[in-house]
Amino acid sequence: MKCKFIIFLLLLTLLILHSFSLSFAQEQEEATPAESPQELTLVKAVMCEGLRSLVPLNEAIAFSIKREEVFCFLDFDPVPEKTSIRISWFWRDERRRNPKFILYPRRWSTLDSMQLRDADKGPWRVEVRDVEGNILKTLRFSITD
Amino acid sequence: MDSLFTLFEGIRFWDVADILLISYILFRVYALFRGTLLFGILMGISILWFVLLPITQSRGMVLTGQVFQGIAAAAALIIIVVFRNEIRSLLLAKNLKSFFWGFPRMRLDTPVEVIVESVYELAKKRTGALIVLMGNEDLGEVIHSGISWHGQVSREMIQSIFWRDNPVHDGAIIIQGDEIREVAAILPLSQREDLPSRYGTRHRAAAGLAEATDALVIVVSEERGTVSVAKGTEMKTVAGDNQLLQVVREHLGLPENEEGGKKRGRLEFAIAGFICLICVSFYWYVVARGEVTVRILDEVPVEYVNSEPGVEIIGSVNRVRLELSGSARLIRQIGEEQINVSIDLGDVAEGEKTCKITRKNMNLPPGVRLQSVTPEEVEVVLDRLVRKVFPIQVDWVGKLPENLRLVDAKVIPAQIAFTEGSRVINEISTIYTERISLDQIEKSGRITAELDIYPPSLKMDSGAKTTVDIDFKVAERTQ
Repeated sequence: MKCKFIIFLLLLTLLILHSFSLSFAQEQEEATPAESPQELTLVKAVMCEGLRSLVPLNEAIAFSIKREEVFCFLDFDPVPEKTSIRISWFWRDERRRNPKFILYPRRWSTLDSMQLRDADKGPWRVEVRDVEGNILKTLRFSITD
Repeated sequence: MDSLFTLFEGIRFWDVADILLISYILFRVYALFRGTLLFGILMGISILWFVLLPITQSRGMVLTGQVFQGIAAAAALIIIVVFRNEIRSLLLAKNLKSFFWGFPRMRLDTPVEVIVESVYELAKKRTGALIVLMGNEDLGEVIHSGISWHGQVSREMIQSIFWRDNPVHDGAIIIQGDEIREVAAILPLSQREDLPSRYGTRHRAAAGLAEATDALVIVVSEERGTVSVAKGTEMKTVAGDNQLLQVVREHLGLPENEEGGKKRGRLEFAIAGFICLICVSFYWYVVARGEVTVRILDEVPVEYVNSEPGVEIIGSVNRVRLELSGSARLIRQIGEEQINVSIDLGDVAEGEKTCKITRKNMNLPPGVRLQSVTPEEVEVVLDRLVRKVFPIQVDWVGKLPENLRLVDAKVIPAQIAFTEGSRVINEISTIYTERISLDQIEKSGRITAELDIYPPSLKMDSGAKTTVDIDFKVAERTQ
């Protein structure tokens, strides 16, 4: 009998705790829109040589062709909802790449890279556009010897 | 009908004036010198120069052509020397009005009947006589020793002059108009061998003067009582007074009656004027216009006019090739810089348009025909001018030291405005600097760089600089 009571008490406690947790989660979800901005915000956009410990390594605006690869690091915070962006790579005014990336709430970082060939020397720009095509950021850099 | 139209196509006002002026000069030469030996020689030289010489040249008869040229040139000089008296008398005797406008009057005042009656009275009495009726030529060079008389022509006067006991009866009388100008004139004797043996000195003198001048000489034979006339190289015996009257009238240009003579004179001048006009027109057409040649102008500039303000013409043809034909004289006069092709864009809206090039698009002189134009059409693209602000990006080249990285470069000014047609300017997003080497960079600093403006047709605002300053930062590389 005593054993049954203890099990009942344990189940009741779990039920109360579950109810509490659901209630807290709902409150938190209702509070989120009021606290954060509604727009997708790009907080950091840099050209770099790679990532180390999730941090851009050797941010720069000129990269040697010998590096063989150049990276574009983007950090969005917040990401209000699941959305997409496009990262357009231009050599002078000639578009070379235009990949699409999916962003997920609440915060999302992405890294795009391009393999370098000898013919890629010269001035470049990277345009970051939202799903509606608005330019969020333009990064300018050069590929050199 | 088409060929008739082609005949007159392109004739300018000045071509008509050219023809009329020369026709009139030719007509005046005829009017002033007709009936004289000089006129005949002028006609001969004209035929030599304007007809025979072109024929010899067109047929490649070089030697004959040169001889004709020489003869014509020498003849011009000879005419002035030989006919100096006629030319002088023409220039001195006639006033300016008669020179340019007046017509030689018929010698209606010569009393022909009186002369004829006198001649036959002398013949009837077997009184020798030598009567000279002047033509248009001056006789001063041929006749010597005459005694100036200046008496009115009358039967009594003629009878008395040739009366045997008159001191001046031996020799000729010179009649001009109604006046006996000279008496006892000694005429040159003809050297001809073919004259009949019955002709004595008087007849030979008549023949000699007639051969040398345009005068008519009447001879009354003392031995036979016959009347002869000498004109040019011809000498004939006159059958009666009616025939003599006709011969004299013909020589003086007198009609049967006065009114008829005036009409005939007017008709003669009208025909002469018409013939002059026809000859000159024909010669002008054959020589001046008929000598068609073709000329090619390779680099004729094309000008686009009346385009709207703020609109730029791009992608159009700036030069065309024209093939022209026309009279060699007109074609030679055309300078390449005088011809331009003008295309009116007044009714052309923004966008593309094809314009066909025709004769209306160019300022060709009248009489010059357009054979072909290359290209026949030009594509014209009209673009509205747009001012756009461009970001300036540095074009880095070279290589930084291994331990350094270029972390930032601020361009001052960061943006510059340019103006160009919308089609061009919308294809451009960035203006770059000249190439800047990283090789010598070891620390942060500032440099000045020229802009590499491409396409070069981009126009900056007036006063804008073509250089920018670049503040750059370098940092140590993280390994």
